[in-house]
Amino acid sequence: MRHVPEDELHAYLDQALSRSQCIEIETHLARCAPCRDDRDQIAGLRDRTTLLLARVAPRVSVPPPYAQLLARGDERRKTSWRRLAVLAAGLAGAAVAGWGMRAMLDPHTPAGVGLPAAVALAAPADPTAPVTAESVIRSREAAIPSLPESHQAAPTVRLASTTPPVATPAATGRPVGGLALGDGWVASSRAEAEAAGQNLIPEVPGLTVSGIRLRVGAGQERPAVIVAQTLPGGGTVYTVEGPVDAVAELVADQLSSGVFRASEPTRSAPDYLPFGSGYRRAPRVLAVLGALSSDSLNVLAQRVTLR
Amino acid sequence: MADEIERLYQTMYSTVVRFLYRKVWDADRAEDLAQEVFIRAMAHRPEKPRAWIFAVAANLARDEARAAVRRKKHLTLLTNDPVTLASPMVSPVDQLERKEQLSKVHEALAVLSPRDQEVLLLWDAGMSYTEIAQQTGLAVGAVGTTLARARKRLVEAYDQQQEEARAARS
Repeated sequence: MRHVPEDELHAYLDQALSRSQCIEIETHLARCAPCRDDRDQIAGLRDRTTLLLARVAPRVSVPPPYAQLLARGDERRKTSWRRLAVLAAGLAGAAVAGWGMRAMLDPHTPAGVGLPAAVALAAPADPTAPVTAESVIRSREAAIPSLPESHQAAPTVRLASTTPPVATPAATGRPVGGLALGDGWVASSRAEAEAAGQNLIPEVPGLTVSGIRLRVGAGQERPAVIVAQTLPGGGTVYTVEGPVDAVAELVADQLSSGVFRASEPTRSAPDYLPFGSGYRRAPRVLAVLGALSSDSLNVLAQRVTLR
Repeated sequence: MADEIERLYQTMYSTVVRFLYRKVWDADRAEDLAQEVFIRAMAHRPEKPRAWIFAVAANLARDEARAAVRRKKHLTLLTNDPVTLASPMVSPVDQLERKEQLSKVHEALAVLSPRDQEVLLLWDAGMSYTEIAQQTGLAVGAVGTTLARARKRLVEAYDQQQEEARAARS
């Protein structure tokens, strides 16, 4: 007759065995006195362990309100964006200083020097999360005014591939939907945005694009782009894609306004540039802004395609 | 899902604090770390939140221990003993006795190997054999063996200390 091993008795008492295993052990215990003794001994050992561990427990603590924890999480996300903005500004400064030095030392050096690429970015949200893009898109969590018709009118500005845009006052600095933008953002049609330097237009699939804004930075990198898209239930989400400094600055501004939340910064697709495009490569990120929960925005950011 | 994390926060917070306390031996720090775990859970939206929460808690406690070693800061049990902050109804003699008990269990736990300790604390936090196996990388069948050894060693170490204390007094 096979006696019940010690570890199996532990598992039996811990209710970690299947019903059939339990029946097998119980049948054996009914017939075997030594195993019953073992079982009682192990039950005693188990109880003593639980008792000893109960002595090393901190005082019963009341958890702080969940809302407080949520607020801390949101604050942390904002801080991470602000840090990124500061880091990006530092990188841009260093790059500019680097070019200056290079130009002084060697006047023949071309301007196509890349930014240091080591920008640490937060990992994107877990794609398996049950908040789905569809559920976000379907739900009406936001009521931001969408882009007025007049703003969707084709702009009068066409961007040349290598020269900064000469924007008309009407098209520059105009808000896109509820997003208040600083100088340099130019309204653009899709065709123009695409033509303006092989820009890949980021968008959440399945949503109507209600406006596009482009901004050419001080560097030689491809312009930053904002794509406003309308949610079926109303409200607008904004996908911002561009060089790290431009995106971080915009997002930090919008977060400080308190109207919008932002997804975690996500690294964009590698910046492939065709030969002779006139642009230089730069690390790029994208983020989705809107008056939705951060979770929803993270999910949408996961879905953004660059076309 | 947000509700799931909130529900777990309401039901598991004190368990996570207790789990962490037995690793960092500082009640306030255990609470800070537990809140950190839940903030991360909100951001990451794990698929299996319960197991994820304990995995992150264990990692944070490990980082904390490493940092403490780096700082050469010896966290002593008695200087920051949460039990001493308990009800003022407890007499000083009782408090002292509880402190001693706590100290002994702490020392007995320290006798266990890190893995045995981890398995025992996870079990005491209410995790199933399957969850413990997933977190520690053990086979499910090995969890029972590990728990059997851990329980025996803990009780033996504790009893031995009691013996030594009795011998010292007499």
